[in-house]
Amino acid sequence: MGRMIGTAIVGMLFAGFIAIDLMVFGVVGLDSPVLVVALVVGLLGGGLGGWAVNRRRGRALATS
Amino acid sequence: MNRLVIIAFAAAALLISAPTAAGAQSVGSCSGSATIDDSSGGSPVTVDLTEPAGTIVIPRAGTVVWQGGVPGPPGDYSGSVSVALPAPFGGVTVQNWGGTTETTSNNGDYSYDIPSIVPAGATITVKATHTDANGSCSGSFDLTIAGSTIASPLAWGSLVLTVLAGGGLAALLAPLVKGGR
Repeated sequence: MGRMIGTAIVGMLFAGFIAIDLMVFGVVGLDSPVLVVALVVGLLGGGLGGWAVNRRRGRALATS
Repeated sequence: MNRLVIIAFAAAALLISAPTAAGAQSVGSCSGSATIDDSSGGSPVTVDLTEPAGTIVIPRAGTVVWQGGVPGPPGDYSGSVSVALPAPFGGVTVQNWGGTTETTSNNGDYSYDIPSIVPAGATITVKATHTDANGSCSGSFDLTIAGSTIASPLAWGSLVLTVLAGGGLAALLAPLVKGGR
């Protein structure tokens, strides 16, 4: 659970910074919803990735 | 947030009289125009409500000479200028006005100097509304600061943080690729 939460937070930060980059460099406007969307997608995607890692580790331990 | 306010306040000089500003979209009978003189010697920028423009590129520092008017005595009037932010944040009001007058036009000038930390190239949408006895006017326009984006430490900082966060995410997800622990 710890890895899943940690990965979700880092994923959110990563997606958020990408969105900020897009705004700073003028690719999207300051009022674009891309920042909010990126934060949500990063949070969910990161959490899903963390869950997948936990699942894989669980399988590896079970077969060892 | 103060950086946004500084930028928008400069833009608000285009709108600060009764009418809406020059820009991409406008509704109503207000009129207005402004000329921005570049303090570093660049070419002045002129915008006019009757000649909608795309994104307005403004100098980082300069003086805005503005004028505007309405067709008849305004009576009780009110209005505001705001910077649009992404949902759910809405916008930040950077200037508002109100009162009672019979004057149908106004003009003035405003000097500004946007700090170097504010990156050039970012597109900022400024919205304005004005209501008086003649009706309501509203307008919006996009503006960006002239110059190089990478000259701003904010741009570099944002890129560095993106790389750091990406590296952290890659490390956390590495077991998926490697198949290890």
